[in-house]
Amino acid sequence: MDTWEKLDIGLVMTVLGMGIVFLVLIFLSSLLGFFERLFGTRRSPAAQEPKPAAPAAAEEKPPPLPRPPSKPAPEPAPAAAAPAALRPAVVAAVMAAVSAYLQAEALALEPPVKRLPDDLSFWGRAARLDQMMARRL
Amino acid sequence: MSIGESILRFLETMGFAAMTWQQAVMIGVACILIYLALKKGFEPLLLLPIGFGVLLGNLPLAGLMAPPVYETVIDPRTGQAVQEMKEVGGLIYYLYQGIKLGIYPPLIFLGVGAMTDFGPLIANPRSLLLGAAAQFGIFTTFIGALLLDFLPGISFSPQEAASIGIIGGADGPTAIYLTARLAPHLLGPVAVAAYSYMALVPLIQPPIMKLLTTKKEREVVMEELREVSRTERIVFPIVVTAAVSLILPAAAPLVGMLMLGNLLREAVSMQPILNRLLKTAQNELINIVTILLGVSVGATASGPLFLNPRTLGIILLGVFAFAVGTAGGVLLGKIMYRTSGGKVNPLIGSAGVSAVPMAARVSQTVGQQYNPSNFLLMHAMGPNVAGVIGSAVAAGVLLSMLG
Repeated sequence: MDTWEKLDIGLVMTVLGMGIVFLVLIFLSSLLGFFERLFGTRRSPAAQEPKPAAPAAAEEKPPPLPRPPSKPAPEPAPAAAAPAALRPAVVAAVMAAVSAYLQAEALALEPPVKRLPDDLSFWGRAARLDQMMARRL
Repeated sequence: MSIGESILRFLETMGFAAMTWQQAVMIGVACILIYLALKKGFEPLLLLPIGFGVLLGNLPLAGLMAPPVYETVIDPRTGQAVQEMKEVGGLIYYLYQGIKLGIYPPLIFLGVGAMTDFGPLIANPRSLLLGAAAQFGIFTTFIGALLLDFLPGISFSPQEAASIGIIGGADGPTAIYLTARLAPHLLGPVAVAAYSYMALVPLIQPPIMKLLTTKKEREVVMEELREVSRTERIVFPIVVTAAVSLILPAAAPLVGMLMLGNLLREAVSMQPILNRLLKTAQNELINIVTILLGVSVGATASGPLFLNPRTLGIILLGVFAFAVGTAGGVLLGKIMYRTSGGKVNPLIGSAGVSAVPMAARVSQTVGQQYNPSNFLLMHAMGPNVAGVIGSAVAAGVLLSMLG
């Protein structure tokens, strides 16, 4: 088989192969779009804003009772309309988990999050897992 | 027989007396693969069994890969000539039948499907297109392998070129499945190249991603994905299996087992008793098959097959396949960025290369370098798992045309 024949085979296979791959996946994509209409749920709740938007509500109708001395306004929620009152410990724990998953350097967190040693017995680990599951949202 | 003769006879049975230089070199290659797996963390789940399989397969006189020996005898009852086994084959010869008969790779895919969440893909069906675009690396490498005969000592047939091209799918089981059918003598180098490059995805992809995208494109924050209903999750594997297998029957073993695994995973929410099957598929089954597959594949890498210029060609083409696949996905991502009005981050296109979840992680890491609050991981998982389906479909096409 000479070079031109090989090139010919290669080009035919490429056009045919990529064409079939695209057609199959476009077909699947259309099916999934159809499923969304048939079985799907609507948009996820993320786009909604938190109803008790504390920073915004601060200026709303002042209640008749005197308010406590104003604390510094809570952090301005960035992109994802975060619930107004995330405790710093929760934020620190989430960031530690993300860092561990991405194997990034340990962040200086406040309050500091310390990795527990992994030398517990089977029952110790079971108890720890039980505690974590009990606190799951 | 004197003691001297006995000792000499024993020495002749030792492997040292029969070792060739190729076997010695391959034992060294085995040590390198084991080093890469253990010390450098290069896909240790596969590279360690493969490396050890290379060692076992190149031990002289051990006969681990030796086929059984039959002789023709006359059956005294019927008087007909029959084949009788004179010598049993080697251990790995029999383990290798799982590859030769196309059993192990689909079983690995069963485990992969059981561990994969197709939710991001179902929530964003356009990801399938990115998974398709990333398969471009397979076919361009196919052409490249065919045309490589201008280099001395390197010439590949279409079947061999297809086995090399599938490296670009970044899918080990698919590469092994296709190569075992089209070019089994290339199984060793193709598997080693495929799994080594999969481990190098974090090194190979980022420069290509940065070269093909602008800073503005890399900073795009994508909309949160919608929730996917349980019904969609359960219907998805059934429909994909039926649709793909009807269009491309050659892809049925891989896609079917992938989707069976996924169906087990999703059906547990309806029938918790299925958790037993799910746990087996996710753990024991895939672990057992991984060991058997790795050892068998490694043992096929004998000296004469591995130590020649063609192996160098395979290794070079493997990098090319990954690079072109990444570029294909990113370029389609750019097109989708423009057509969607800037809603799609082109970086997720690189995740169409189906090294799950490594390629999706790379999209996340590169995206965060330019926008620390950008979380692309779940968006990138869509093309990532779409690439698994895409590479299985591409393998089915190649098998249909060249098998």
